[in-house]
Amino acid sequence: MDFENIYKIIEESLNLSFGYILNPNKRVYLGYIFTSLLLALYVYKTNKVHKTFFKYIYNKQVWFSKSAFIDYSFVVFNGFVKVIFIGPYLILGLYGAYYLTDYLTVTFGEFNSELPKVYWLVFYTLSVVVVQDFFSFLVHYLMHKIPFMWEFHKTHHSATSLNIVTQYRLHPVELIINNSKSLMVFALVSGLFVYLSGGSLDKISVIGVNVLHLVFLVFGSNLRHSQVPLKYNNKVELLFISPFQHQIHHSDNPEHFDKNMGSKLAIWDWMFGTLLRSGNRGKLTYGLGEEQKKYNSFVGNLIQPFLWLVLKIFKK
Amino acid sequence: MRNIILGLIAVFVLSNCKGDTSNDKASIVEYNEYLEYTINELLIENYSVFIESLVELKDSSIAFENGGHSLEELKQKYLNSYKNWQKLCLYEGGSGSRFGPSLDNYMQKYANTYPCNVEKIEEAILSDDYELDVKYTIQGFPAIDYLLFNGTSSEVENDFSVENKRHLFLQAIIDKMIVQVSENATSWENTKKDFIANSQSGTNGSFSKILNGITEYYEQQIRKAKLAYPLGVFTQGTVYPADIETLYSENSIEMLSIAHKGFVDFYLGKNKDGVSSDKSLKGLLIKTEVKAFDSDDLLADVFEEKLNICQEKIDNIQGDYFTLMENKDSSLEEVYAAFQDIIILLKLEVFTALDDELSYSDSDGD
Repeated sequence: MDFENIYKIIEESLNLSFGYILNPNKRVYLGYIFTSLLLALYVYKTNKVHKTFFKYIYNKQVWFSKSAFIDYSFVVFNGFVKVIFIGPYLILGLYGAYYLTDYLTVTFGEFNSELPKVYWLVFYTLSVVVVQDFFSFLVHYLMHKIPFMWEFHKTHHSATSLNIVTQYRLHPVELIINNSKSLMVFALVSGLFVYLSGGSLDKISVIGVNVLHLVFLVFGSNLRHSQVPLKYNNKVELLFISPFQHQIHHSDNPEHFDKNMGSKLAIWDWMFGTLLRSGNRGKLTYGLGEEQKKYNSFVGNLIQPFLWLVLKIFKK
Repeated sequence: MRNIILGLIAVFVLSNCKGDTSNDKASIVEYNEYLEYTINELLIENYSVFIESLVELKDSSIAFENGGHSLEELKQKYLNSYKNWQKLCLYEGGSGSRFGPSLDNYMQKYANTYPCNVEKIEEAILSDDYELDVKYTIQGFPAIDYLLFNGTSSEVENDFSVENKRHLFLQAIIDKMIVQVSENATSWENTKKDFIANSQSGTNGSFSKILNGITEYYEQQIRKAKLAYPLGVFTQGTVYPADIETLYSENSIEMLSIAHKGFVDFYLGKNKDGVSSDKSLKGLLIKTEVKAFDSDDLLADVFEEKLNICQEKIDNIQGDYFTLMENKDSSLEEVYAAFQDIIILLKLEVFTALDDELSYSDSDGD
């Protein structure tokens, strides 16, 4: 690889990571940060917090903590992982969708739908989000239940303070698993819908974002990883995961372990018996408890899962 | 650790200060020049050639009625005109993704809806009102194909001589095509400036409309209508040989070849003199420097190679198309496989390389 290529990779990776704030498909897009601030203001007023709003959201102990700097490091590092190991393979999602449509067409013949285009538009918009959400839950569930996967997922749970960037604190292996899952779901849902709709495939989108996903992004998805305890109505939390429910998921209290693994919908947790609603749980603390020491550095987070693997192999 | 972060931010800032961003696909794709060339040198030119051949066909049909032209001369004019249609129709796009004036006036309906409905054609000949605005299966080239080639030359001449209404019907369906295509040609002249000026990237831009249109055209009008559907690919193996293009004149293979060649020429930006241009789809792809997914070669070259392979396979089809269809001949299945290779590249890789809407869409955590 020559210098020019290395430079291109560095440039593309950094542009990618730092470009999140201008990308409406990303949770940390400026517009969503703004709506999150409005929701934070609502929580601030409702909870009658005894400090200024600025100090409420700009807590130096959170934003300048060691944990936060590990988050920031992962944003940059994973930019490289995406450019080198993920980006070149994203096209496989399109390939998967194409081959599925082709297989269905050749096997079952053309599907002549009587439904108007607008129905497919609505069904596809809904299906992409719901199916993707279910598989996100499932993969997340497996990461908590399968020891090998949990070792890699620990990186995300080793955050001792939550800020909006903690979302990107993922071990590269988990990042690759998540992207593989997304590609697979995209291929399945898109391939099926192209077949059923006879080729017309579109979703209802605003600023290039699926409108249902946009609702999630606008209504506080950033607060999932934050110190702002935004809760929904008790009954609503049976259907949708509130930001505070996700904060409970990060709690180091053993009572909260392996709970609330859903992303948007709470029904999956409900079905799998892992749902905890917000209730009155007092102040939460985060991290891995006794194991935390090994994860207090960026490098520690990167290598710990592999050390675990090596130990596992040699113990046998 | 903080120093590392600050260092990386500094590198990022410096990288953005670099003036040359030549790898950004939106900045390198010269949509405007491409659109200007495609519309003026290819599309308008093809319209002009087609209209000219249609007028010659009309004149020949009148001369045939008056005894000035033989049936053979009329047949030649018909075939010439049909061939020119094969080169023009891709500039309408597919039925679901048309662009330009074809959005309101889809010529394909009036010129090439096949198979034609023979009973309805005979009924129409005897009636005074043909209802050509709505009855697409009694008009266009497929209907002329039936009128001129259904039987031996003496039988066809006899049909025309005993019933003058046959001449009137033939002339009416040619007139209908002239009216419809002239309307689009005029409309293109009036709107091309705005169409070319809409050189923004993204789904609303003219480039994206053309790319979507020709992709669906290739998939639906060439692959499916001319080959895959009658071959039974989409009907669980049941073949429909009677649904081939030019059923009566038996020129299906030549029409398929010309239509495909028209697509290849479009890709290369070949003008009426047969000269390729870098203001073509291939030219744009070269500028992106994108390589094919499973190769170290440029996507632009790999795609051209696949097109040429497919063209060669089409040109190697030997025999009667109807019989080949009936027997599901392996040469047709080979052409279908070659079509698939092209469509996969076109829909997945060419689109991804050129369409801004299909940029990075990775996932993160939740």
